[in-house]
Amino acid sequence: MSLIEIRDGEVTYRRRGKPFVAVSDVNLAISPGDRVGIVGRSGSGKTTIARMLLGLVAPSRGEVLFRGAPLSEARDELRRSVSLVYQDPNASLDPRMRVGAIISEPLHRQATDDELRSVLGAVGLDPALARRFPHQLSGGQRQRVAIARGLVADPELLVADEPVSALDVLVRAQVLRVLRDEVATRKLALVMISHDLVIVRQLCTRVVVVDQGRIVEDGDVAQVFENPSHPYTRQLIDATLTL
Amino acid sequence: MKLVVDELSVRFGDTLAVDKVSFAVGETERLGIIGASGSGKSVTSLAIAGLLSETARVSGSIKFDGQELVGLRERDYRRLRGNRFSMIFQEPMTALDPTMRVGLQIAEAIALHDRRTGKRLTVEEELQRVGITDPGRVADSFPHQLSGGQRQRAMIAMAIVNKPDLVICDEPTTALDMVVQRNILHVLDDVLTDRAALFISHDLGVVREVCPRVIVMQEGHIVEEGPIDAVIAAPAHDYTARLVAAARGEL
Repeated sequence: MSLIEIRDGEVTYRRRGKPFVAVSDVNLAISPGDRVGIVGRSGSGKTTIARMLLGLVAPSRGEVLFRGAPLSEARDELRRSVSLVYQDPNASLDPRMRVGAIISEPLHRQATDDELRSVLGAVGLDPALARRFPHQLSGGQRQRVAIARGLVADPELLVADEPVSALDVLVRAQVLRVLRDEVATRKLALVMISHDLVIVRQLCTRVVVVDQGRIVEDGDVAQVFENPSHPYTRQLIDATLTL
Repeated sequence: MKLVVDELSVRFGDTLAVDKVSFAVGETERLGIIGASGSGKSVTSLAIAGLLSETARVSGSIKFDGQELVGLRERDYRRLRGNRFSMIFQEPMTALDPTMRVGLQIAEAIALHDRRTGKRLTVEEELQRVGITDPGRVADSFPHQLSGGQRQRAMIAMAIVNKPDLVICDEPTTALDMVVQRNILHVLDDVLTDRAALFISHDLGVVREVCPRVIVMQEGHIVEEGPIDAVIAAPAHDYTARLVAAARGEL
């Protein structure tokens, strides 16, 4: 059974007083251990799809199921099983909280020293950093704290929204390695939003291409990249600057 | 040579951000400067543009068309900046005035340095030149009404409107998505023809699209320089090798 499934999902926002369809006809099922990259241009609807998966936005049409149950019945369970890593750690980490307290947030209690040591060690950070504030860390360390927070409650699915696009190229590789290794060790499902196909290829086995609010392609990474069926996918592949 | 940088050092308090860096850029040459955060690449470009904060201590020499820029008065710098040389930054949203229509900002850039006031026609022509298909609408828009790619095109139009000899591009495509980045690189490739350019980036793949030659900076020093294809094929420095691996998507 799928972990999370969107069936015929449609999300409508209001823009300048008028309804605006952000995404429609979205059918997407994430199974345990799936590693899915969602790609598309700015405004294509990829973040809206991720927010639907997280239960942060309710579809105006269609439904979201968590282990086969509608979200109205499974919302608490979904919250325990899914966590999110944002693009910009500067914005997602509370500057007034110490790292230890930030990481503890999803547990709704202070994490024990053992828990902190374990999760900080997993993302390659010195456990002593738990006493620091976010501004005392580098950009890469901050994003690893955000990943540690995403892992501490033992989720089954990690949703990462452009997790490395705010980082420098060398730090980016380091953070991606941490993410790849932790997803593999913990057998997590991963949904990663990105506009960078190179990163999707590094971490994901499946890619979903979103264009103008619709899923226009969904398949195995290697197959889609070799044989794209949608013009936007082809454009993305052509625009990727690899050495 | 259009630009000759000789033993340039920049110090902020006790921190030496740039340490005796020397390089030169030919009349129509494009030079890439590559490095990770904190390598000193942006500080080098800001020193050339005269945009460092007052707390920075600059020594060495920067000669632009033979004129010494180190120690130049701000009044004299203002005559050069936006006119003889110009800058394109990573985030057009912070470089453009959010309260002013885009067309007016371009016209102002012309009028600041030229008696012929920025005519509507000139502005629309400049916007068209950077690949904007509906220049009338874009000229009448405020920056927030445009997409990221359109804003960066408008920024490029502003930077080249006075036909500068040197354009300094600091991570001009980093904030954009891949397809838009590719399009902007094409525009840059076109507008930088017959000018000197400095192109700063942490992404070798991006630099290779625009620059035949590159210098690699780490912790304020130049650790490697040469033709970009040679540097990518056989990096001499371990740090360059790591940048190449990262750009190849190796983890």
